[in-house]
Amino acid sequence: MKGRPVADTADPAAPDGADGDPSGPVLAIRNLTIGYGTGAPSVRGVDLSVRSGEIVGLIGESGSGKSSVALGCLGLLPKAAEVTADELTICGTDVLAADERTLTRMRGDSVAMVFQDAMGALDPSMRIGNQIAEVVTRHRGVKRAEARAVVRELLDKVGVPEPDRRARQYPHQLSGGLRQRAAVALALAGDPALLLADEPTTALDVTVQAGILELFRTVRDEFGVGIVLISHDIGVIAQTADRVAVMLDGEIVEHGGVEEVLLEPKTEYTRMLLRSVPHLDRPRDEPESRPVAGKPLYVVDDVSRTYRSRGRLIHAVQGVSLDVREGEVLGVVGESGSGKSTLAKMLVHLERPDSGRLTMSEPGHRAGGSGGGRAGRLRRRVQMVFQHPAGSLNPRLRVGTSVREPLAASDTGAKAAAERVREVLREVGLPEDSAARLPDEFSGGQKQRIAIARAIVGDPRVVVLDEPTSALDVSVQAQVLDLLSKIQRAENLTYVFISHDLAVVRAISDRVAVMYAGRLVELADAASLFEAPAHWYTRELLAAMPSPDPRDRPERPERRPRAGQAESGQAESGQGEEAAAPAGCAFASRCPAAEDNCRTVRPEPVELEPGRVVACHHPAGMEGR
Amino acid sequence: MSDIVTVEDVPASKDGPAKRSLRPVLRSRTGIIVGVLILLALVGMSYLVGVLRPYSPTEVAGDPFTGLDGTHWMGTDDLGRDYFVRLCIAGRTSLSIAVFAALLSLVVGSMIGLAAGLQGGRLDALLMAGVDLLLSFPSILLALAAITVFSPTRKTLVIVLAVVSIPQFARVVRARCLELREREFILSARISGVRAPVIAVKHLLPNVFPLMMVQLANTAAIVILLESSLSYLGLGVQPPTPSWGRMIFESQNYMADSPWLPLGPAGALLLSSIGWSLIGEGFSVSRRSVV
Repeated sequence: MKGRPVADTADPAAPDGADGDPSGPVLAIRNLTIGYGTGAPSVRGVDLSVRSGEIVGLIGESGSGKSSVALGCLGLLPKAAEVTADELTICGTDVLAADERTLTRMRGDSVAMVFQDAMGALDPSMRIGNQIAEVVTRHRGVKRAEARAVVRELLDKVGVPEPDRRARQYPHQLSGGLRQRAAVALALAGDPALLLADEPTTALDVTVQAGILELFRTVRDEFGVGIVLISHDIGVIAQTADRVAVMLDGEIVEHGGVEEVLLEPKTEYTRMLLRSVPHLDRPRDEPESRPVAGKPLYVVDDVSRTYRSRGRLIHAVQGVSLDVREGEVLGVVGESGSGKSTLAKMLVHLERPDSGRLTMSEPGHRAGGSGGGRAGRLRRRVQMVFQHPAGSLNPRLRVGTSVREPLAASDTGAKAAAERVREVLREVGLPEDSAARLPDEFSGGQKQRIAIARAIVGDPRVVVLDEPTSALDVSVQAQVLDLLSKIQRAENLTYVFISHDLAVVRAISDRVAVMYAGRLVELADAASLFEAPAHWYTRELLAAMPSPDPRDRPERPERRPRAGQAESGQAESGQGEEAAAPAGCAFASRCPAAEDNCRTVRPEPVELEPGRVVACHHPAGMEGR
Repeated sequence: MSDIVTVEDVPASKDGPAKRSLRPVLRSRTGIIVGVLILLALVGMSYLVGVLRPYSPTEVAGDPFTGLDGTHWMGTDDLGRDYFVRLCIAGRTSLSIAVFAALLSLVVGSMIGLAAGLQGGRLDALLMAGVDLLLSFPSILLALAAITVFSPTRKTLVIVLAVVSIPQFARVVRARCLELREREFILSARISGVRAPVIAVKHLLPNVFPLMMVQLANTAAIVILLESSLSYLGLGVQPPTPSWGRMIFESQNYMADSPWLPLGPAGALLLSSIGWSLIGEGFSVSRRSVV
């Protein structure tokens, strides 16, 4: 469509990215509809406009069409998609009418995208600096020699420490957080007016996520770009967005200022969504009179596990001791690499500890060294539910067969087994005929219910739940958490609930253990841990959780993004892969309260007060003790 | 996409995935059907030839080199035996050796692969070392050496050809098992105390099965060529039993005058190899659409 006045892209050499009329929208969408062949369109009648210097949050559950909108803006939808709109312009360019060349020039010049997986956005075989320089020279008309200075400045601005050194590194040498910062720098390299960020922090740890969210706020203020931030996480949106659009089934159901939408939602759907979000300051809704001080049922005593990987020793779990009490929900939190999944695998005997003991407090049930038959019997007393519902069922077996498996292994009669399977399927809220169907016919949430049914069918004592809701949408997550609580009470079960999501742990746990770099750093009952964390790492974790309340956001963002020091430090020390284990506290390099002895003497877990174990020389709020 | 980590809680639509996978399945089905038809035709010919033609493959039925005519459809060979009958009967030898050798290597190779893949550790290292040792020799060389030591009967041929095909089988099955054993449903079974052989049969086998079918057909295609190579070198089934490789060898001297003599068995060989490959390819396409 050459010759159309609106089809002209902005001048690539425009000095500051403020293309065209500074007050005009950088992205204008009116009545956007995206359909695939027959059936209802996956996006219907979406209106959205973004001005420069503002962040518009797009919330929605999976399948709501929020990613399709982003891809549609870039003209990157598959050929089969039928896209119609009354208006779809980016900086005045009509995306639908533009030819391929115009679109190519537009991407990078006017609009750029940041994805969930930074590793996929960066070329693994190219140095970071060269990748960014390539975009800089192409889109800004800068000479190669000058580009280096621009790259350095960009990396510095997005909070990459030591930009000169990092520019010479390859993507795999960077930690996840730094990699996402580099991806943001790459996106900003063409000096775009609009940035589309699709779940940019979903794959990151919560402390790293906090830094990246701050980065987006800085990018908005310093670069003056308009940002569309797509996320399923309401906390992420609440802490960054100026305006919010809520998507449901391909339509925007609610749209407005962030406080307006999140504090006084007008539609039932938004209200439901907000109700489903677990809150850090909201404990499990039950009388506190639960018998938390039950007898120790499953005792973990000084357990360690080390892996050997490419000649390096990885201390996944180091000297962890804790007791799981009868009838309680013990939450275990930590970031990726903290050793929580290895601990889970040892609890269910998928991995053997290198040293230490796991003891079930029943005569004749010791985990280590028991024979095959005994181990088998013991195994059934501890069951597990995994994160990915899709993987937890054999796709070729009927649901009933999968659920019955633990019973078959324990020689239950066929008739009794069938009855028990029906009973547990009913208990987890699945239809009567589920047993005869194949896993493919169920949704993610339903599969997770089946996995739960399978775990409880053999009357276990302890169920280990490894991120059981992390792969689920927030409304489904709320249902599954409810179900888990209900079952726990009904069957008098003991849970070990592992998650990186503190709010979810808060919603279900009686006591919480915090792990860092393979060690237990704090263990306390949920209320005191969340209200008065003693270990500095616990404090950092809690502070990093994005609150779903927009009023909780930092008053005025700092002018410059906090350098990604924490993220780089984490790649080197926090992942439980201490090459030569440092003598001191593993958290010392990130700890605000670290003193000399923290770097030389490792703090052992000490019971500071009854029921509260902390591994820290200078625990917060405990100075007097 | 952004939604890798989130899953919607609406029942998965029943016809969605089916519709999407219809095309490749159809295509693969055609392939499988054509492959099966080719092989059935070859087998049918080899067993029905006695009804069609009044000659035995070993009797002298006329003059040598009669050329193509009504009494001897493909003429006669240097000894005056009916060439068409010999060509058909040779199919029994080649095809049956291929099928039995492929099946034998399927059974043994899969067991090795399942055991190594599920158990891992020392057993895996040991089994794979053995498999790699076998793999490091060219299979034709191994077969040659083995046939020179043992007499080249049909039974030894099947065993030798099976043995040289086992490593590929074991490798393919093991690789898939290694992938599967980290899947949550296998871990769940282990947590429930299900014993390893039961896991292998109930969980691994059904998920490896389509792959095994692909490998079976591919192995048969290779074995049929290998068997002919051995026959060509005089190490296959011994005369007077006809075999395609042997027939190519014997007829190559007369190629200039009677080109159909080597072309007959060569074409049959090609057809049967294509038949097996079509089946193998068909299974692997439909496997991709299913898993």
